[in-house]
Parts: sequence; structure tokens; C-alpha cells
Amino acid sequence: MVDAEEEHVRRVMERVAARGAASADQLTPDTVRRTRRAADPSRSNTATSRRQWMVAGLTVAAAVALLALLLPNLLADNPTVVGHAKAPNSMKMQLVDSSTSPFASVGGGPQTGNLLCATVTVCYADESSGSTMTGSGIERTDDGGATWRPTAALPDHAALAWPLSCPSAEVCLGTVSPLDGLSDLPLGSLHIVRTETGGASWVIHAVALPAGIALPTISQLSCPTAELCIAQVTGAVAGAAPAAPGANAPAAGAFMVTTDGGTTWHDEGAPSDLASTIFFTFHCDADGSCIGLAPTGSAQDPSTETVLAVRTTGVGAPWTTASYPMPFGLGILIMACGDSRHCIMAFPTDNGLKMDVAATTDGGLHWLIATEPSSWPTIAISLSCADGLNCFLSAADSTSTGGYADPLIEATHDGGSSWTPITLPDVDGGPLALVFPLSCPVPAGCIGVGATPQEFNPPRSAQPPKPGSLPVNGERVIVSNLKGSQTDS
Amino acid sequence: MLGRGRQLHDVTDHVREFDDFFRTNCPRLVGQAYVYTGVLAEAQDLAHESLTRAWERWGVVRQYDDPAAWTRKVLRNLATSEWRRAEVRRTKSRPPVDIEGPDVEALALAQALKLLPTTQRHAVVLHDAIGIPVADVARELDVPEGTVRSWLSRGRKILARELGLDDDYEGGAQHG
Repeated sequence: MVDAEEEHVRRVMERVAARGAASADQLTPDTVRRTRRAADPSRSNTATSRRQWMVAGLTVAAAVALLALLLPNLLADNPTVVGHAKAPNSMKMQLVDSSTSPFASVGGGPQTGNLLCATVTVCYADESSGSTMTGSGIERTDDGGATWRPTAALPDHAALAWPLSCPSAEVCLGTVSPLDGLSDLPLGSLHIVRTETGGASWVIHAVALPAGIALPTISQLSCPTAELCIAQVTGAVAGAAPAAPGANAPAAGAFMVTTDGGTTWHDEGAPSDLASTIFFTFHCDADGSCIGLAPTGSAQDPSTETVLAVRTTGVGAPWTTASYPMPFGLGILIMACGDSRHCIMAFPTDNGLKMDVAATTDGGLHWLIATEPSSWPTIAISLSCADGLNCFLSAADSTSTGGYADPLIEATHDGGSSWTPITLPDVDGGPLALVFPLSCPVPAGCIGVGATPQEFNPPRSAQPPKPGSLPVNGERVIVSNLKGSQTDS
Repeated sequence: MLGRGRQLHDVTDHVREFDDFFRTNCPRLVGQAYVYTGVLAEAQDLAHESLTRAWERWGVVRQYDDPAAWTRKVLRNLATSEWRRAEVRRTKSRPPVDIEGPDVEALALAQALKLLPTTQRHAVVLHDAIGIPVADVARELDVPEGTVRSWLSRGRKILARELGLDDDYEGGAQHG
């Protein structure tokens, strides 16, 4: 028997669910198929979510106890050659003896989807806390991930948002969301924030608004030096109406460049349709050459799928495109570039039951594809390149409950031709579920954020928080194979 | 080209199948997630992530007896896991969905739901919010139907108390 009180609750729940369901048209199958994991910490919208959670005053967080136990190598001690060549545009993949140090747990860390390591000891990541923000919203470690502290608050009540780009340990540039209604910055304006003190203080600089773009936002930011930064600004064509009710307005974009560390910016003048591309990764070198990669075409007709490279050879040089046919198949595609010519991507094959890796050495004009060894997991999780030759791939298998298991880190030191497995530590007496994200500042290795299997399948006996209790900051297991590295870059 | 022609037929079929699955289930997933979070953007992210997990291994998930139930389970796990903040990003910029202000009713509901034990919370959301029959809820949560009915009743009473829904309650949206 449902009494009136219970019926009221049901009506409230139905109403709320209906309001949520009504917003479902903002998602499409294509957005799911074109989802990419943060291949490198160059772009995300996590900061927006965090701010919305602050408004809501809600958080779900639970501490993850950390006991790092370095167990014997989970992977083959004597790896064999299992890859095979695919002529003509294929490369031979083989597992080789590892010369890269194994990963170890170095401590607890932020609950983050964004991690950027500028050196072997200094990294920046999204702040852990969901309901309070003690600084800019970005935390920093100075000891390779063992301890983390908030960076200083920004002026004007602004929150620092990714993309973040750090040409050195102390110099970083990031963005402020123009849609963030909590800051004192006017809606529709465009700003970057800069620190020269490793986050101890920040200065906000306005970015000139590109002509003809409404609701502009900085989608990509790459600062190869403390002075040179290239930003991709995207938005909608100003004044343009959607083609149909409910459709998005036509996209517009521009590449903006600063050569004085962010004080002044100018429009590079790239065609708007190039600059509005949703890049999966974006990388610029110190000489001003840049590359952005994105998949194009439709998964419904894989013969139309290509990987699009949008490139420039330097500041002031024209932006051009190169397109290479590449059916990506079912699943998730991740991409990363170590420099403006060398990039790697990992993508699923065999209906999502396997994973392939492809590499380019000429800025996307040609790609060489390799079939993964059968021992590899099926899902590419994170990919980070220290330079054109040295990249690290995190992968895992999917579990029957939608979680992840059997994580693996593979390293290449030759641009993707051969791969070496690197040992991951057990935590709390068991293996990790996955490592995401991974950030690799030097060829020797990376710092990553590990998650335990419990993250994806919470115990049924979990007790709800007591009324009025403060949320507990989430923690992750920070893993690194750089501990002991003496040379910071 | 790349020796992949043999895969194209399967891929196309799977894409079409997933599209149908998406259209049928996406609204209900977002609705379910919205009840958990009270924040529209978060709800969209959760639904998006759940569907991404389904797509990620669609070749296997499509063969399950009830792929929708599997996806709802993923969403439930995501909703109760802190991991959700560290997940995939949408390829398109997020529209400024919450710029008009928070949905007070949804936020209060999400907050109140956190007072329920996890499985009880899931039962209430599955049945009362998105209309999954008690028998199916029992199957999804792997408990007897009687247990679900008991959870529903107890859960609603707690929620009613927390939300201040007494006999004089008139209902109606409190949005904005």
C-alpha cells in the first residue's frame, strides 16, 4: 500500500527524471562513438563539472586506502615476438626486453581526469575536493606525486580550467571558462591565466576575441616555451541560426597566438572550418610548428573514416590539412603527439575485441598500423608522449560490470615500432583496475593515476554518509616509474 | 586499404544496432542519472559514460539478455563511484545547460537519496524514477522482490521526511 507521502516522493522522482530525460537530445550516438579519452592532458571540460558541483554543494567521494606492494612482474619475463607485419602500410610490432623501470606506488593523489607532469617531480592535476575549492582548482606535486597541495587562488574568483600547458615546472598557462557564472569575468570574454611561480600566484590576461565567433572558448592550448603559446578558440558562428530546431549552431574557430607569454594575442587567420575541428590531441613545438589530430567520417560507413591532421610549420605560416583513410572500428580512439611530426594513436579492431596502434612520422600524411600482441588488453585508456620517439600507452580490459581490469602499461622508444611492457604495482593486495590518466614528461617514463577495482564496482555494503557530515576527498593511487630519477628537466 | 574490409559489414550492423539501443535508452539513462546527481551536466556525463562503456564493448554487450540492464548497472556504479570525474570527455563542447541556475528540487532529491543505503537507493531510483518494474529491479539488484518492495517503502518514507513532503504537499516543479 502506497500512502500519500510515498506517492509524493514518487511524483517528485518522476518529475526530476523526466526533466533529465528531456535533456537527452543533447547526446547523440555519434558523440558516444566519437568520445575520446584524454589522450594527453591537453583538453577537457572537467573544470566546468567541478564548478557545477560546487554550486550544487554535492559530492561523492570516498578515500582509497593505499598500501603499495611491488610484486613480481605480472607480465612475461621473456616476451616473445607476437606482432606481424601488414604490407604495405604496416609496421612490425614486437615485445622486447624492458629497459624502462617498473611502476611503483608513490602515494595517494588527486581524483583527477587531468594530469600534466612538467618534469619528473612537478605535476599539476585537478583538485580532489568536490565541494570546496581551496585554491585555483589545480593541485601541484613537487615530489613526483607523493604529496599534493593546492595552487593559489586566481584573481576575480575565477577557476582555472584545462587545457593547461606548462613549458617548465614553474611556468604554466591555463584558461578560465567563459561560461563560468561564478567568476567576476564577464560572460563571453576570453582569458588565460599564467603563473611563473609554480602556482604560488597567477595573473589573468585577456585574449583578444576572434572576429565572428560567439560563445568562444579555448579548446586547445599548447605552450612549447614560456613566451610562445598557440590556442585554438572554438565557438559558434556569430549570428548564425541552427540549421534545424534543436540543432547546434554552425561551429567556428580560430588559432590565436601569443609570443609574449600571453599578454597580447593575434589571430593566425586560419580558415574557420579548419580551426573549428574538434581535436583529439594538439601539440606545438618551440619553432611554432603545430599539429592537431581528429577523426572524421562516419562510423556508419567506415569506408569514409579518416584521420585528419591540421598543421602549420610555424607562426605566421598557413594552416593546412592532411587526411589519411583509417577505419577506426568500434570503441574508443586515443591519440597523442610527441612533436609536430610524430604521433601515435590506439584504436579498437575486431568489433572492439582487440586494439591496434598506428604511428605517423610525417605529421599525418601517412600512418603505419600494427596489430597488438594478443596479450594486450582490448581498450586503450591513456596515451602520453615525452617526445617523438618515446610514448607510453595505458590499456585495460573491460569487465562484465562495466569496470576495468588487467591494466597494462606499454612503452615505445622508437616511435611505435616496438613496445615494452612495464610492471604495475599491486595495491591493497590486488592489482589495479587501470591507470588513467598517464603523463610522461621524459623518455624514461611517466606518472599516472591508478584506480582500484572497487572504484568501478562499489561494495553493496557501503554505508551512506551521516547527515551533515563533510564529504571525504577522493584519493587515487599515484604510480610512477620515475622515482629515483635524479635529473629533472 | 589496411586489410579491413572483412570488418566493415559487422561494424555497420553493430553501429545501426547501437543507434537503436541509444535512442531507446539514452533518455531513461539521463533521467536516472539526474535523480542521482541533481545536476544536468553531470547526469549527461554519467549517461554518456555508461553508453560509452556499452559501445566500448558492444560486440559483447549486444549479446547479453538485457543490454539496457547492463548499462543501467554501469550507470549505477558510476553514480556511486568517485571515478566518474576522471572519465571520458565529450568531443563537442558542453552546452551551457545550467546557466539559468540550479534545479533546487533535483538537488534536494539527490542529496536526500544519499541518506539511503546504496542498494535501497538504486531500487528507489530504478522503480520510482524511471519505472522499472519491481520484478526487474529485483533481478537487476539480485534480491527477492519482497526485499525490493520493503526497500521502496522504507526509502520513500526517508525521502519524504528529508524532502519535507507532508500531507499538505502540493507537488509541482521548484525549478530555478
